[in-house]
Parts: sequence; structure tokens; C-alpha cells
Amino acid sequence: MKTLFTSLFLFVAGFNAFSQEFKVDTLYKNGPFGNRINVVILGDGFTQAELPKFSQEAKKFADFFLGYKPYDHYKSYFNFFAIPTPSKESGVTNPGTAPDAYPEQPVVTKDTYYGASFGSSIHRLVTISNYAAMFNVLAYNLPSWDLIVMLVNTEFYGGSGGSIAVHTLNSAANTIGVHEIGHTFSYLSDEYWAGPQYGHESPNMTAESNPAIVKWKNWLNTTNIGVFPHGMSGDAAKWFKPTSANCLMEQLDKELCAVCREATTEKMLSLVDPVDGIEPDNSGTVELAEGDNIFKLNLVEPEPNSLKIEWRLDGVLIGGGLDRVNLSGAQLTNPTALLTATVFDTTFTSRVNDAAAQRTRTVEWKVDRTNTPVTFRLTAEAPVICAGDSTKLTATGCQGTVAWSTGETGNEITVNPAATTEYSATCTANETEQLAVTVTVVPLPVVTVTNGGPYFEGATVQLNAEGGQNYHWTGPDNFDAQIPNPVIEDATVLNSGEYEVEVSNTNGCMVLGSTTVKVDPILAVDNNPDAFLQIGPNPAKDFIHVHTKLPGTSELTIYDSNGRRLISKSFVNTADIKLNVNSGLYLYRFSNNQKEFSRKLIVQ
Amino acid sequence: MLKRNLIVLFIVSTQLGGCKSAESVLKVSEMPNYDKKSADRMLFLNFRISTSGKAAPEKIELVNAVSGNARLKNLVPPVHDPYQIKVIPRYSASRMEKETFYEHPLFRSVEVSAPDGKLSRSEERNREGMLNIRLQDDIYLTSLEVYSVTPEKGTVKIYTLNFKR
Ligand SMILES: [Zn+2]
Repeated sequence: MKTLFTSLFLFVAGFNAFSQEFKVDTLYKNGPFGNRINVVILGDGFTQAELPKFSQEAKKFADFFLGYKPYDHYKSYFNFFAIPTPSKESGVTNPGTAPDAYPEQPVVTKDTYYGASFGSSIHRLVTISNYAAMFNVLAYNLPSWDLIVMLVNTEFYGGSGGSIAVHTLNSAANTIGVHEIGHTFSYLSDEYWAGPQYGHESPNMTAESNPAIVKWKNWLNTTNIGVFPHGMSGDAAKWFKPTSANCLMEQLDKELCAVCREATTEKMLSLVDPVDGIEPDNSGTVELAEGDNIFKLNLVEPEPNSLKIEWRLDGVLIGGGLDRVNLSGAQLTNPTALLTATVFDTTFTSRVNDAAAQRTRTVEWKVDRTNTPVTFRLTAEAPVICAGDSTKLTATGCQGTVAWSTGETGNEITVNPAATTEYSATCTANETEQLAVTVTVVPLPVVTVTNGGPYFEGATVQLNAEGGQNYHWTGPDNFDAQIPNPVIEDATVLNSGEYEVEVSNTNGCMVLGSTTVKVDPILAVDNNPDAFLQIGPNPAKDFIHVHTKLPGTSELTIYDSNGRRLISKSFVNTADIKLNVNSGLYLYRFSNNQKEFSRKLIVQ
Repeated sequence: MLKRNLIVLFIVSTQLGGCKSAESVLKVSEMPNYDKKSADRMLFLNFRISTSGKAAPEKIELVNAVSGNARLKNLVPPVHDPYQIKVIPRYSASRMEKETFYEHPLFRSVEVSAPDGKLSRSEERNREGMLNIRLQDDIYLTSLEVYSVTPEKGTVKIYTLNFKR
């Protein structure tokens, strides 16, 4: 065996011959690094004079990302920073050697901070080369990053993924960053078929096609979600995805599908504890004082706030919904007890089985009432309830027996009043003491849900809900909105279907409403309808005459250019239809059994 | 005055029966931005990996090392490509010696996007690439082993970085 040793000293010094410290722009700082997802935005090809432009672009991307579903519900779960570093030259290297190089883009070599360049064999593949410079900037200025986004100073389209998301300032390029973060953050697969080597189990890819057990089975009743093969033959036919041409992981002009949103939400919730801090400290026993004893959670709240909070004393529910509870010594049956707060995110974005068991966060305090006198007290678990709900009433501190105004006895009863009711309880011990508690019943919102349809493709769909304070719409094509009257511009048939809206009033009482939207395609002339239908005159004035050779009932419907239905008539063979409409362009739709088509109608 | 931080790197190449696996020594306390007092220190290492040809073994060298104060979240995405780099930290005390997988810089799968939203993947074969590693420092950390994983040659140790304190 021959062993050869060569040793030499290597001085790696060139990279730190200048200052590594830069001013860090704090775009959004919502909490400590350890309990937030920290995104750092770097820029390449921005000169010293162009750094304000970089800062603007960084803010623009941060806002784009934080407005993207499902991140938009969890803005406060992120910190965003930008580190401006000046490049010697403005722009980006363009080798100009790739077959898809843009003819109008000049071929140049630029001296930039991170050495960004368009691709030499695939032009749109914009990457950086100076990873050492990047690590130096990050180690000195923001070592706690979780995700890196690199903005490259050119309006020409391009970008890449991998360990960092790189993209240019082209307005179509920012979804590259969100797609790549889908891979690196949520471990999502591509939903386009990239080849057999990419077939593997992931949140949005599986070899299991049985709808009863497929991993996204909880979403199968949602529009656009199904079990779609990646292809019709070969390896592609063995792998399945939750949508077809309806997800950012397949096409950059689509939003993340419901299944990818769920995986992304679960990832965020696994990294960020909604309990940022607590008061008082729980490392020792908390001695209860005679007056108020406030126990409090400092919460990181989603928007809208989907956190469900419950407070328990020795396992018995004593409060919910609020981030704090006021505990008195009288509530303790024994001198010491365990106060528990549980926090669970009930977000609609996830339907993971056993989510409550998986990610309920629990905080415990040991409490002691030795120094506080015992007094008889009544509490309602929920002093305000929605019509139809029930609540628990608890008597504490009674050294004898408790009798309620309902006729029941015991320390705890459940009531479900139809209207606001006062309940009293009598403690019979050495003396008799009576206390009362009121349960206020709030009516449910009375909700009206409509839409302005039916529509043709290209029209603006108007959804309307009223009667509440907060609204949450969901519907086809990943529709998600939190305003009462959302619109969908430039509708297509994909926007057809049932839209559900959860409407709640100021007291949080919720009802579910729905409306069905119909968007019809503007059909091309098929089967030569002239052979079986005559409509005239067109252009028309006051009326049109319709004649069809088809047997059975036919229907003719006239719509305005916004897709609003104006006139509808059922007839057999012939009909004269009076037009009480202004002059302009209209559409008519003829249907008879399986035959259906639409055409333009001009009214003069 | 300009302060220069120098990393002193000993490169020790050992040849055992024709199998080459490079070794070097990094003096951790002399790394730029090293904070002796910090409890949560990270090491940021940039390696250049290159090859002279298809069948030639990978050559690897540490080109940059810097420290920073932070605690790492476990956010390394899984690698599904059959070509990978496997990294294992070794400790002189009882610690989890957790394998981490990285994309092989010489065999990259790149995602290509287009302004109309269409995406595709392409296999890139390079003669040279960068491996960038973030590692939680630990006073018991003694070395970092780097393996090349390819369908042709299997798992082959290509480098060991020894940490000197
Ligand atoms: Zn998806």
C-alpha cells in the first residue's frame, strides 16, 4: 500500500478583501427568526445608483408572494428582508449562444455581484455563478435565511430554481419564484410530466389511483380536483396528479391547486408555532392572587384568524375563543390545578386527517390557590352563543350541593336556550348562597346568495352575498375570496359550478350559502345549423321569426353582450319573438334536445 | 485598516490502492466572521466540483468558508435525481450523524419556464459546478464526508473536510 501525502497552505482571501457588511432592508419583520419563515431577497446587476430600484422590486416581489394563496392567509408567519449589493455594471451577461436567445437582446458580458447570466444552451435559464459571494453576504448579514430569491436586473424573461429561486424583472417571471419555492419549501412535484425519473410520491404526486384511498381523497369533491394520470401511456400513465392544467406546479399562469395549497399550509404550520409567547411564565407554579389572574397567549394570527383556542382547568373546559383567561382561586376545587391552553388552526386550506391530533399546540401552567379564599362562583363556558348552539355552565367553590334553576343538580350543566336566558344556581352548605349567569343568544345571519348569470365566456361573473359581516367564498377553478361581492373577469366554462360562501356576523355566528354559476361557451357553428334552423331578419328590428325542422320542444334565449339573459321562449317548430331591446349586439342560443348553438344577433 | 481574515487550509491527498479521496483541514476558529462566544454558529461552505471527462473521478475543492450566527431549520428539500451528493457530518461525541442529500452539480436537472407559463425540465451535464452547504457548528464536529452518488459508480467517497479547533 502506497500512501502519498502532499500538503499545502491555501490562502482563500480574495473574497473578503472588502467589507462584507451591507445595510439590510427589513421589508416585513413579524417575529423572531426561530419562529418565522425568513425570506431574503438578493439582487444582481443593480449598480450603486440602481439600488433604490432593487429595493422597490424586492418589496414588489414580497407583496406578490404574500398576496399569493395560501401564503396570503399567513402573512405574519413570514419575515422578508432585502440585501442591496452594488454591482460594478448594470444588467446581466447574455452569451447569446442558445437557440432560443432573444434576437433583440444585445450579447454582452457584465461584471455583476453574483455573476448572473442567461443560459448558454437554454437562454431563459438565468442562473448565478458566484455562490461564494452569496454565502459571504448572507453569513455576515442574514445567516438565518430559510428561502433565497434572487432578482436579476433585466426586463428580458428568464429564471431558474434549485437551492435558490432566480428570476428577472419581467412581469411574467415572478411566478417562477413562487413555483420554485413550491419545490424547495413545500416539496411539491411538478404537475407536468417531466420524465420517469421524476415519478415519486409527494404531496401532489402518487402512484395510487384509487379515489377511496388516494392521498388527496378529502379534496375530491372540490372543483377541478380529481385523480389525473400524467399521461396516457408508459411511465406517465403510472403516476397521478390532483388537477389537469389547473395548478401553478403545472403551468405558471395558474394558481396553486387546493392540494398544493394544503401541503404548503401544513409546511408553514409545521415551522411556525402560533404561540409566540405566554404570560405569565410557566416554568414554576403560579400563585393565584385574590383579584384578577390573567393568563395570556401571544399569538401569531392567520388572516382570517382560524385559530381555535380552548382553556381547561384540570381537563374541564373553562373558556374558549380568546387569547386570555381570567382565573380566580374559587374556580379550583383542589388547592392546586393544571391550567391548559390549546391552540389549533382550523384553516379551510387543509383537510389533513387527524390535523387536530397532529398540530394542536398546548401550553400548561401549574396554579396554586392556597393564598386565595374559596368563594362560590358561576361561569358560562360561552356567555354568548349562536342560535342552535349549547353551552356549559359550571359552579365552582361550593362546599356543599349545587341546585340549578333548570331543576338539575351538580357542578356542571349544559343548556341550549332558544333566546337569551338567565340561569341561577344555589349552593347549599353551611349557608345558602344563590348566583345567576346570563347566556345571550345571538341570531344567525339571514343570508342571500345570488349571481348575475347565466353568462357566456368572456363576461364578468358577479357573485353577491349579503346579511353578514365576514364572507369566505370558495368555488370552481380554485376560487377563493373574502369579500361579499367578488367578481370573476373574463369568465370561462371552468368558472361554472357551485360557489359556496360562509357568512358570519359580528358575533361569529356562521351560515353556509351557495349559488350555481353557469358560463356557456360561445359555440362555433356546428353541424351547419342553417340546415335545420332559420332565424330572421338578422339584423332585426322589432321581432324575429324562428323556424326549425327539428321535432319536439325547442328553446331560444337572447342574451345581451354581458351574458345577461333577456328573453327566453319555448316553442315547437315556429315562433315569433318580440324584441323589446335597444339597438346593439346580442347573442341568441338555440337548443333542441342534444343540439345547441349560439350566434350573434344584431338589433337596429 | 483593512482587516484580512485568512483561512488556512491543508490539503492532504491520500492515495490508497488507486482510489483517491481528497482530504483537507479547516481551522474553524480562523474562519471569517467566526464568533467564539455564540451558541448557535453555522458554517457556510462553498465547494467547487469538477471533472476532466465522463469517466474521470470528481475533483472537489473548498473555495470559500465563512461563519455566521444562526440556528438552522431543517429545510433541505429531498433530491429525487439518481445523481446526488451525499454529505455526512462526523462528531467526536454522541450526535446524530445525519446524511443530507444535495443535487449533484455536474448532473443537474434544470427547470425551464416560458413567458406563456409552460414548463419543462432538461438534464444538464457540466464539467464544473458548485456545492453550497450550510452546516450547524458544534464543538464536537470533527469532519464532513462528501460522497458522489451516481447510477454508474454507486456511492463513492470523494472528499473529507476535517475541522480543526
Ligand atoms: Zn397542485
